[in-house]
Amino acid sequence: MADLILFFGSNADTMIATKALKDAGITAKMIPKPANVASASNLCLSIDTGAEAQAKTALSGAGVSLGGVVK
Amino acid sequence: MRTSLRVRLLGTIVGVIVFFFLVTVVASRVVLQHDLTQLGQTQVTNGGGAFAGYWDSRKDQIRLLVAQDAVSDALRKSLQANNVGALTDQLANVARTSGLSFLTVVDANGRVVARANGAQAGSLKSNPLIQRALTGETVSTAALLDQSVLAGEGLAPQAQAEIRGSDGKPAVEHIDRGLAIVAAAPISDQNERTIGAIYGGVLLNHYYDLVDQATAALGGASAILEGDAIVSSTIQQPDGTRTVDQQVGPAADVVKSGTAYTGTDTEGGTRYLVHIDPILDDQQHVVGARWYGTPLANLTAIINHTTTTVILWGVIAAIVALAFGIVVVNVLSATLDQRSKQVRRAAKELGVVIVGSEVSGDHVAMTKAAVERAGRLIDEMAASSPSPKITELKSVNAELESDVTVIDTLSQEMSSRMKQAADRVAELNDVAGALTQLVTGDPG
Repeated sequence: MADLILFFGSNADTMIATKALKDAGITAKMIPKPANVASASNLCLSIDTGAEAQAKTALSGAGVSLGGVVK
Repeated sequence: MRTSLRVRLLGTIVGVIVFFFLVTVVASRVVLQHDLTQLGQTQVTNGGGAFAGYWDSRKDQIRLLVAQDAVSDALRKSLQANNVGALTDQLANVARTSGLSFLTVVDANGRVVARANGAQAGSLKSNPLIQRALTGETVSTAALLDQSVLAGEGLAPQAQAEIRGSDGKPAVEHIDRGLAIVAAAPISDQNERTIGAIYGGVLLNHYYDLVDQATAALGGASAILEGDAIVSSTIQQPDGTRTVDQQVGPAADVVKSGTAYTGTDTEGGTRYLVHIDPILDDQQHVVGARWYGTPLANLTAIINHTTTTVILWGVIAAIVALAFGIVVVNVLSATLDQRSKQVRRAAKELGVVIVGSEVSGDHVAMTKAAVERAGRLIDEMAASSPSPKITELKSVNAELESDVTVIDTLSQEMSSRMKQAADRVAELNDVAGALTQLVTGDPG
């Protein structure tokens, strides 16, 4: 776990994404934004690498735009 | 000074009711005035027509009476025998029973043989009606009888009068002629030769049967005018006497132009809506006029009564509407006031939540500072006496510091959102306060 970092355009999007992933049954841990990631948000989400496709589907269904993925 | 919404709403309702009420009353009165005046004019025109019908009926009656007398055997025999005494008695009896003012028999030369009113001699040879009767024609018409004819029949005093002006000015005109309905018919012997003529009629000056009959049947008031002067009428003066021997202003034009007049006229101190139409003789010359009118006060009374009724019911309707309006406004005001107070209470409670959020944020910041301080202490311990436990403790503290950073970020985000919410709530609070003041006039 914690192999994949999802980041978003704002802290609000990050919070909404946390709820969307939780509702979709995907375990996500909110962590401070790594220094090498360029984003307006101070937070990002860490998920298991195998859940990437499921997470993207859940985020798309919740209308949250994904800022990027760092592996 | 600011007035409350309740007062403004009620003021608006009262204003609308009063405006509507005034417009209704004024419009009703104007329409009534116009329509009833038109109706009144139609009625007096119809009444004038009916009065003319009575006139024509009387004229036909006189023609029939004279024509019947002309074929009377008794009159013919007395004329043939030149029995003046018997003829005079017969004429007097007929005139009295028939209601004629005069009845005269002339011979074939137009010389007066006998009169119902006495034995005055004379000649009616120049009388156009006698001339026509002596040619075998039976005629009847309205006519102006001159003084010599009236004097011969003993009727001059009945016709003579000093006429007052329409404005009451005394003796503006002297009348010595008389307006009459007359008829003449030839008297023939057994061989159908004309041996004379009979001439009779009713002098209308100061004769009231016709106008009384018309008024009794039609209502209102009626009058007969010789020229433009009333010579017989049922128009009452304030003292209860008849209006006679007085000029009628609008009648002058009727007599002059020969066209009827429908409009207003004041007689005996009373304003009438009248119809005046000309009286024509057999030569189509205007010899007088028929006046028929109804008091304008009748129409005015209807208009005033209707207006009063509209006002009365309008006031009742306005009071009911106002009472209903007061209830509705009170209910609306109370509901608005209640809702705005609810908003203010909610805003106050939300203020407590915001304060709690700020306190919570401060506490998170202090926790973050404590975790960072613990990290620095662990770093110092690892530098002075490294051990696996301290390394593990450092890892746990790093994870804890990461979590606290996330919590702090979330806390700041929520604090920012809360400030925005607080601003909105403050606006809502202002709106609610303004609503309360608007409704009650009390700033709350």
